[in-house]
Amino acid sequence: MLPLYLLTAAKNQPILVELKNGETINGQLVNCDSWMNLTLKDVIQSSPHGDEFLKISECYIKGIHIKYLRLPEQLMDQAKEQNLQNMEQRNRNNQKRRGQSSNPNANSNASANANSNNSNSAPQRQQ
Amino acid sequence: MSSLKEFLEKKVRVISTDARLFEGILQGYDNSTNVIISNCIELVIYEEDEGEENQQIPLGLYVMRGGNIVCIGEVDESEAIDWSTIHGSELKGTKNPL
Repeated sequence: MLPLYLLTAAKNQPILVELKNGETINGQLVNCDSWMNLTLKDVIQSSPHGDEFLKISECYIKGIHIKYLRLPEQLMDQAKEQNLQNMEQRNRNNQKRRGQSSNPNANSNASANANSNNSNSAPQRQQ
Repeated sequence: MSSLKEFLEKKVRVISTDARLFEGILQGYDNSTNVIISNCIELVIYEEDEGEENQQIPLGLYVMRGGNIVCIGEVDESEAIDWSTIHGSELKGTKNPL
């Protein structure tokens, strides 16, 4: 599993971020991107020696300043399960698509059906 | 081509640029060596004359940024190490620009 995939699965969960300068930031993950830039809400920022605390309602962290992230322990299992479900869904879709293309007798009628089946996943060319 | 693939789902130790030692199970990695470590513990080792007791701090699920990692090695579990009695001097931190 990719670290950034796990991170996206941690959205809306409480996480701890340690920055390269030793500051730690606790908060609820709102969003993240492929550079590991984060937005958090309900944030508590602690100084490197843990002697100063700052409460912030929202904050943005540039990914490059992050040393590490601590995520909820059960997140790994959740993300794995989600991943499995996604994969099964994709397989099913692929099989459906392959089923159509390998059968030349499935003519206009079938393909019209298929189009309506796939309409939410792929743009329709006819339109 | 060297890869962390062989270490996946195995117990590994990670040394970070701030000279800390972590142990856990490698669950994933990417091209920039960001890693997922589950059941992560930090091993704190003191010098003998410091008289402090070594610590093993359970940390849970960790995602470490690749830029912060010095090395990752698979743990040979056939050779148990008694971490409470081991002593050694501090690793030197590597100074990296942001």
